Amino acid sequence: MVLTRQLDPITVAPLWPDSVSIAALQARAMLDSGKATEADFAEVASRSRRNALDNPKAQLAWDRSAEEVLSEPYTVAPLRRSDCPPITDGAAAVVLAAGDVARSKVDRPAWIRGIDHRVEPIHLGLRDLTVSESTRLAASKAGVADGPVDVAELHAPFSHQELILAEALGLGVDTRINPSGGALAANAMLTAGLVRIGELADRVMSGEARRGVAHATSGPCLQQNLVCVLEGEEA
Amino acid sequence: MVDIRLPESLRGVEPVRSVRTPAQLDYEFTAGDATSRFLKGITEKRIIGQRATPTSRVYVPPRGADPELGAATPIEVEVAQTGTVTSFCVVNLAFYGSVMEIPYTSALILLDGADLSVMHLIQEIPADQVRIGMRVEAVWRDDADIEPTLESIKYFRPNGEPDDPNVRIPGEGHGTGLGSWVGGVAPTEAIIRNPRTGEGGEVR
Amino acid sequence: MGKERVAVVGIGQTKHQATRGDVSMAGLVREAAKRALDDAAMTWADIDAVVIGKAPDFFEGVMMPELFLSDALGCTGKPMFRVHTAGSVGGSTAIVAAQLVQAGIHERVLTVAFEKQSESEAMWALSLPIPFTPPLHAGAGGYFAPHVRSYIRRAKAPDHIGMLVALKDRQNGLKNPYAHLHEHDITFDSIKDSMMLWDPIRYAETCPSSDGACALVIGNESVADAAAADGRKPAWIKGTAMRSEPTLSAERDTVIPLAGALCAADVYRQAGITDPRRDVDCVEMYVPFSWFEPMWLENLGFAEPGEGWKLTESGVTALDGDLPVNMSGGVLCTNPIGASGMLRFAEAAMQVRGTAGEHQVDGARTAVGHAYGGGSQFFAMWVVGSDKP
Repeated sequence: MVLTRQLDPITVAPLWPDSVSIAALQARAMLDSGKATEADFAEVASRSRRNALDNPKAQLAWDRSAEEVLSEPYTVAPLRRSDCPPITDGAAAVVLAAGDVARSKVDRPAWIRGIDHRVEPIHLGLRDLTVSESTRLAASKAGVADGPVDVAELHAPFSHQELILAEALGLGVDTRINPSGGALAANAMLTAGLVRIGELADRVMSGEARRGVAHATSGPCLQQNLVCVLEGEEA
Repeated sequence: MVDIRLPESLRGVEPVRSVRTPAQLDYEFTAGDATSRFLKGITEKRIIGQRATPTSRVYVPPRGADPELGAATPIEVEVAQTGTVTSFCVVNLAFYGSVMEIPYTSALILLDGADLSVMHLIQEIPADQVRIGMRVEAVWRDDADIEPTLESIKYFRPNGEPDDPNVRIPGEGHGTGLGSWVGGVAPTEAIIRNPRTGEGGEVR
Repeated sequence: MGKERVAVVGIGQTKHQATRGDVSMAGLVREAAKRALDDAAMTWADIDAVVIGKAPDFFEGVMMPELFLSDALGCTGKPMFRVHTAGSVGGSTAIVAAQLVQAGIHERVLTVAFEKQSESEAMWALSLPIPFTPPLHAGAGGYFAPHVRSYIRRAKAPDHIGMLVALKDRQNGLKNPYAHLHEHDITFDSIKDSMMLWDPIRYAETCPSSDGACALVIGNESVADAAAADGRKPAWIKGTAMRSEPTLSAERDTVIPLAGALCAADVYRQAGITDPRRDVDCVEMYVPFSWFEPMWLENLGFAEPGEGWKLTESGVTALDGDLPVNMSGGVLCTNPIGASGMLRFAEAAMQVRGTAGEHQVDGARTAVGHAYGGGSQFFAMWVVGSDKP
């Protein structure tokens, strides 16, 4: 209900559309455009929760196939329960430091090589909901394409949004998406983006990933998007 | 006011200048460990504070941390139900949502044994006779009505003791007030305690 | 730290009033933003990023209204974000915008702050029940009145000081066409006779509840140089600072808060001000209740402890005084809460640009803008000057 109060207060909010219904409009647009199928959504939902099995901080983790997800009834068609994030209490904190201070604190700092954020109109009718132009622009400004992306932590609260974001970021098959389980495994909404940066930083600092992308979103149907490129130093 | 022009078919229809959107939400707050302990004390008509070390500030109600030291406050301390008014305000204004009957006097009360004033109501004395330094005591609800809320203390009232002319006003311990410039020189962080070492807090 | 030189090159504000029923929230912010762009001789396309500030979302009932306002402010495809530090937010927002330019990230940033208090009930929004505590809160006045009482006692200040401040600010406001209150008939006695709302604060010593917005365009050195060459004087930003402190600290001085003094000391150091009373030509400070003028004079280093009220009493802070304070009429005349801090910063910039009209201080070269917020726990200040640093 609070998210409904985020919409245009004169023309949209008085209709009280809930956040899942708003996201479902975008999912429907994906299907109608032929860019994805419900099976694609289910695949994201299944993989995210399976990845979350390795994340002790995740709220929702399980091992079920995409076929099992597809057998669920719709929550708000075409979205099923597993296409939607859990309701989460959570907080995150990240400490930033520059240059030698960072080097003195950790063996392998996760350097911010690029960070940018862009916004789009809030009105859904003014946007092509099947693409994320603001993410594409932010990715370009942040230099995502300047090197290989080992890991991407994407703030995609709904399964179909991962597909939109992966395309906007230009991610290929070599990129591991949301090894933490992403927002589908825990979505303390306005902190979920910072969690993505923290999850990626952990993987870069540990050496598991050399270079990666973290993403955060805000507003209905991916209205505003932030892209952050993190990179470790070669020893 | 801008003239709103309507199409011919809507002539005679009153123009819309605003929309009314009532919204209602209920919240359930999680008290957390420190506040839970405090409220449990209230149900026993005891006022429980916390401190980080045996000599550090006593916080009532406790929040679980000492903001000066940046440290947890594991030590529980029961404080007195008497205290001193450090400042107050007489509210003569009713407003939407207010449940208080006006006028009322809300006061900052430094309970004996505590280092942080609590805000509460002063009654059983005319508003124009309330004063800084006045000694007061807690008046509880009837036992049957005690609940885990500070509202279980109905109000504070004068306890008959003489005023305390030397009441410690938080921040004034540094002579002129923490944020004052003396001799044209700004205060520095040195006059507050170092959160890591507990050092500092020098008196100028 | 290498910082780019930056300046205010455009200023806009709305006509402030109790209810701006002629415009939506979007129309309100756009009105201020458009004026700032016009003043800067720019269009929406010239802007690299937009920083929006406002106070609690409860005031209008729109959660994160920056999302829906981004359309009206031409943000599509640009970085946009929102700052929130309660009443000081207008100042903090301008500082964030300035820092984006100082850091070399952007060349031209539009920053906008607003409040449309008439859309709901701000006093209620500020007095929501706090869990587990008695429902004693009566808006900001109820919170700050005990602090004012402590100041009066500590400084041994006479009762009429608060009324003098109210009279001065309301008379200054008459010279400001954008001010909400234009009380032509106000007198010392009418203030004295006004209702005691939150004893010791009278009705006439209290800020109004306003709808309004303020906008600034902040540019880097080349943008500001170009403006100057074009005859549009920039207000060079010589220092910015923010400080905060915990509200529930036993050590805290609510009357003359440490964070306020640290903020002032930091911003003066950046601006090369060694004696604020001598080096500063005029000050716009955040005075929502009249007594905060002497309190902040002491907190910001313009007076020794307990002496602030004497500057007020002797006329030093009058528009024609030695240290004019709140030339625009201040918060006491105009209080669209989220915009109030930015209006202070904007007035300081107008003064050093020489564009303050009837409330211009002759020859103002260095001016201070100040805002505070929350329970006196957030402070934001800037120093602007007519000369390039």
